[in-house]
Amino acid sequence: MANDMMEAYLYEMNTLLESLDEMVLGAEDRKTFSQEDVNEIFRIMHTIKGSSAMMEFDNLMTVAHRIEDMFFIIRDKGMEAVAEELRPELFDLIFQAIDFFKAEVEKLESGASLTEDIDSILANIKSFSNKIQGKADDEEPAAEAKAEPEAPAASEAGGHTSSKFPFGIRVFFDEGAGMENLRAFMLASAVRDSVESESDFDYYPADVDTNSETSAIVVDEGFSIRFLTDELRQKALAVVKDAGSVGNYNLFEYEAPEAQETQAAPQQAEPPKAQAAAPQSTPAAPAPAAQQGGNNNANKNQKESLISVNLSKLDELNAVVGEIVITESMVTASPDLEGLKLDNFTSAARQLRSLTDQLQDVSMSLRMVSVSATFQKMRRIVRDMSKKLGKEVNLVLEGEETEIDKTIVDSISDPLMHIVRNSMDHGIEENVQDRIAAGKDPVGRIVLSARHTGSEVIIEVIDDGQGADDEAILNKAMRQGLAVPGVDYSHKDILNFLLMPGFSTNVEVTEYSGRGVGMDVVKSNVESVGGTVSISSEKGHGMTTTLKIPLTMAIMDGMEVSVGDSVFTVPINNIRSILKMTNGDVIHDSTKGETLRVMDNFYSVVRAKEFYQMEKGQDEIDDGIILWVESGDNSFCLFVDKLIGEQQVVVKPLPDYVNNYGIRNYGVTGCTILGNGDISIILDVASIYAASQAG
Amino acid sequence: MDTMTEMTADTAALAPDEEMVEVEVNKYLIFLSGGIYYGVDTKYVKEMLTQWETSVTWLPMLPPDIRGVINLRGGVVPIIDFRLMMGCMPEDKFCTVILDMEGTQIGILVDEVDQTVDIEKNRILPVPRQSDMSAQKMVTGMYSLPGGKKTLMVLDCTQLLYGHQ
Repeated sequence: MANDMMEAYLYEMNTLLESLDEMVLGAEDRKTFSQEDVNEIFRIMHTIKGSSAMMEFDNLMTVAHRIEDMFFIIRDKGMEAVAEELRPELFDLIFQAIDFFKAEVEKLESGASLTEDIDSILANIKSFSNKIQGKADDEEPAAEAKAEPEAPAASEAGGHTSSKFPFGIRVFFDEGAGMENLRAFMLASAVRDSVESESDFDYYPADVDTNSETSAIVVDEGFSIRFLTDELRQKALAVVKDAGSVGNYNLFEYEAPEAQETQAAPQQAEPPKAQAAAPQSTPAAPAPAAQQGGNNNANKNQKESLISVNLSKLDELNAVVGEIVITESMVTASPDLEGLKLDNFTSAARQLRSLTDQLQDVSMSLRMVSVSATFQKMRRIVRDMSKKLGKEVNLVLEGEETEIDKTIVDSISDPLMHIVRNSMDHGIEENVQDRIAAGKDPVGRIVLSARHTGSEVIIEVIDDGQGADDEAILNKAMRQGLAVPGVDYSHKDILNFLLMPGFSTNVEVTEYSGRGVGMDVVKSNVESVGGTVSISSEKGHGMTTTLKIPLTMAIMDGMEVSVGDSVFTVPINNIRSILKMTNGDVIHDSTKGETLRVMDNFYSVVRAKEFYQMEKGQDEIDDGIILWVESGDNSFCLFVDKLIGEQQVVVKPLPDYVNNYGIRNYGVTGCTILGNGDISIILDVASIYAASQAG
Repeated sequence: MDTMTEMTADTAALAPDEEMVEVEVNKYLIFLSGGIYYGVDTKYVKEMLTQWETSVTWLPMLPPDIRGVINLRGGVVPIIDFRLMMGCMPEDKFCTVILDMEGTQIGILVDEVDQTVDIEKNRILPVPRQSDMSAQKMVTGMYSLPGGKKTLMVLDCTQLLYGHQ
């Protein structure tokens, strides 16, 4: 089977399952499916069914088909058909199905063979379908009556024309295209998406998705799609024109055969009825859509305008764009031009610059994805664990829209999962009474937040559970041989034990966490992308785990400064002010430290030359420049030789070879290539502060 | 892998007198540093620079043998002074060999590049261990060049890239 077909299939499945997961979670919170949800699930299952059939994954197709059937009942009879007490079962059932699909997709991705045995899940679906159907039949006999008028329509659909849907398109596929029935079915699905209402059209043969024999009919007589109005037909026509393998199509209209006039008469009375029914169902759909707000709309748009691109292509693009930016400045700032007055050249160069800037912004933004999808996954974990552990927990997401580099998103997914599991398992109190006694809300709370600072993404997991018990941790650390008796460990040291390999405070190993490979794996994963993990906690007041990850692929505004022969880039975000001071302004303290008074506050001075033990550079405050910098709550004065100027720079990571020497701890986090091809070192103000305090 | 087999075939064709025993033959680049000849497997050699395209940027807080980083067509490549690494005094005359191992690149400053030779794997002899100097760890074997005048130290590129940590 064609590889790109498989890739497209997997991509589609993953996207569908993710949006399904998200939607069902949301619905579970509201304890019901809105009409819109039901339609959406129906649509997703329909698509899964269709594309799985096309790929010949029968088990996936069957399960999707059954769920589709089940939701057909729900859609028909309304959510009221599912009694309150049955709903948790329904949600569990859908989650079970989602997990099944996900597991199968994973198997496909890794090349493993698919599960053959799908009987148990089918049995579950079947028994549930029976339950809601049995109940619905008693309560709503009207439903059946309503369904009845469709029956003659269906039986009458023995030909290509239909009185109910007078406007038709007949499609012939390319000769020898193969699998005509499935192609027809895919086409019908696409048409459904475009006309947005199933009750406004039908197609013949109607059982193309399940009956492969219809393939012959489609080949010989064509595949007919019929609509209520000409307008809808025109809409669908665009879809048909775009669809693959469509060889030929023609339009036709229903004309009542004269010989059957008497028979046709009552049938012709039907269209107005059907049309009357249509307005009933259509207003129902937009209403909940409006309720859900822009979110849903955005989703819909995404579906149509997303393409999947190989990451390596993006990397290539970024590399080329980076080169263009550098080459552009090499050309426009070429020393050959010095002293020449070139008006046309200068104006063209200015335009080129603004275009390359734009190009760079766009190409950088391509790799950025929001953390939303990763965060949403945590919802599911919290949901499952809170059921299993019997702890009620509210997950709060903050800064979901924060965009970070795709590779970083991938690398924090597992660590986050570990941390959230830990919070659920060890953090939130076992017993609700303990929470109430401590004066907390009986419902636990876990906050997942993401935000940007100038040079880093900060992701925090905050729970309001029982926090870390220093004594218990220390005892455990001693037992594990991580701590030595008799040494006085600070609170911070003790928390650091949590991040060490082989440490697990829980006495019992549970299903979710506590295999002793928790936090140290988190630590190493985060460190692999150059980040850091820190934990803060107070007994009884929960725990905060913070991941700080540098933005390795980013553009930022930097101030170029020089010290001796070296050029450094300080992020503009961190600079509060640039000052010229004199030796007399410096206040010395007893430990040789220097401070400066800026705006009625004292700040310590860090001399870049001394800090980095450089040979050349200014020693006199009078001859240099003071950068008053700030990062978070830390503020200090950085003394450098000269200002070179402001520049937008592309942040490049330093090679691992040099990173392994821990220069990151000294504020050397990355570098950038300047217009003349030289490399400038990007300084991280926070690390310089930390290192200067420690030294 | 393809080039490997090609190379083996080539050498077999060049030396028809030898027995047709399958012996792994690798091409080595020989360079001179501090009066000693060293060899690196050419599959790791990406290119040689005889002069700086751009100047080397010094990085703070690193051991002295790491001279800094250079901009190699948009890539940032660390530069190591091979003389300093091997415990010799630095000199002004040098050329740069860029090594690439699975995408990880480093440049080493050497005195001069000599030639490339084919070396049969089984002719590389073990190094007698004399000291625990870390520089010695990078040398995995010794080989006498035909003609007998030159003896070269065969470098382990993995050690060069990762053994330094």
